[in-house]
Amino acid sequence: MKANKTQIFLLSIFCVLILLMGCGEKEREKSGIITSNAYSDITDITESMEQEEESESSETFEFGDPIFTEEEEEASPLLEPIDPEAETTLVDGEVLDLTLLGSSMVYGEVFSMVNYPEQYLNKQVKVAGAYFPSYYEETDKYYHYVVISDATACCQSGLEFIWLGHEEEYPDNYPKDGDTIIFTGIYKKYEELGITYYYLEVESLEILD
Amino acid sequence: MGNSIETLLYYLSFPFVRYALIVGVLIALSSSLLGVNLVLKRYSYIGDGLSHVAFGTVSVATILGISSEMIVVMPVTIVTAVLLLRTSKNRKIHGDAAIGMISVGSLAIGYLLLNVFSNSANITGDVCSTLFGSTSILTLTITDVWICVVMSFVVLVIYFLFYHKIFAITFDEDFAKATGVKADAYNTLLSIVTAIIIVLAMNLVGSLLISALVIFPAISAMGIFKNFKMVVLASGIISVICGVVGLLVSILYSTPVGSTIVVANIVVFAITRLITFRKERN
Repeated sequence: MKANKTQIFLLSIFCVLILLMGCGEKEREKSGIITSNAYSDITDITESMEQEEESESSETFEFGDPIFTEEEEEASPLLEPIDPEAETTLVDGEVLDLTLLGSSMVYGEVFSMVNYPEQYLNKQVKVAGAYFPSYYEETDKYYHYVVISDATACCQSGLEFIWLGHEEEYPDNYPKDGDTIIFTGIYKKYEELGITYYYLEVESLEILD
Repeated sequence: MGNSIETLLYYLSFPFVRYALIVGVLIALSSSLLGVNLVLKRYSYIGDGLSHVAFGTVSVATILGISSEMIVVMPVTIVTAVLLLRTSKNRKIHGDAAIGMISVGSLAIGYLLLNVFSNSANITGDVCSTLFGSTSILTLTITDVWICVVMSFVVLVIYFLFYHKIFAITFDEDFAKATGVKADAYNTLLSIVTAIIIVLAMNLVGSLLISALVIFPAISAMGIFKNFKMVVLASGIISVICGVVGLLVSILYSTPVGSTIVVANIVVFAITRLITFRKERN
């Protein structure tokens, strides 16, 4: 009888563990294998993010809309008290300056931006990374990305950006593939072919040597 | 120094850093407690073997497109752990050879399958991250954090509930059996708990470096203390300190997380050896 009780106890723990393992939401990046390619994974990640409800503050981007006037401010080293419900500590008017962070931190924060994009909507973000474009046949358009690597450069994550006023100029005036660029943009979203995409709206960008 | 502290405080305001610290502490604590038993039972390398099995399983799950790989990884790793750790005098292939075979076999098969069938454009990067855990701990979701917290809590509760029985089967399994302790059952329990810790620890240090979390704190503690309870306590403290220090240093100076934690463990081990050496000389 004692042996049966022990076995039942162990089996119960095992079943509970299995059930708990199955409760996690789908996280492609948390398979233990972090996807690292810039364009294909960005497309995959953004395609899989479908918004269930429209938030009140969201905007639908259309080319030709008035441009925001950007006010660039220095990010304060100690941020305001953290709202435990929020995934990000940004407050309005602050710039999330990724160029001040170490490469591991940048990668983690970009991962957070890609997985919890609604928390960063309409926030100013300053970012530096490698530029890469990608052509998508279905829309016959070029999409532009800034790719951020982690400390060992074995994992990469990227953010799409749209350079206002220069959308149709590619490849003229655009950096070369792999050039390091730096810019400040506002995190926004748009819909295309029924899928919501998040991007940085950029007025000007600088190519670093 | 002041600049570093200010930077660290700023970094701590990011949610994913806090998640990493919480998970890192729990994993370090759980693995160090188990590590004492595994080292004493001469199964130090089981962490390596099981982590390679987990890697192979993750590869298969990824190729099959299974949405939550944990559903596959955890049971397979648990079954492997049970098969490896159950004592059997009639086994033709003994513990260390069995671990070695399963370990390299899983690693090779996993990497082969990923190369042949995977859709990822950067397999090397994916594999490197899984094996060495460069930034895995910084890309945890809140769900992952809760799973790690609950699992670690379960492991700690089991360990403390069955502490005396685990102690008995660690030091003298035959005597424990003779006195009526269900040694096989507790070995199975130890196997399951070990497998859980290994799968969770892959997030912190990657597959290849997991053994460091198991071995170093225990060996360091054994160098200073001779009492089992004190060794367990010291091992836990050493592991947590090394985990936190390693994590914070890697975030501050952009070094790979797993390697930095292991180096911190090595430094502490060296210090404890020095203390032991000086004690013996005196």
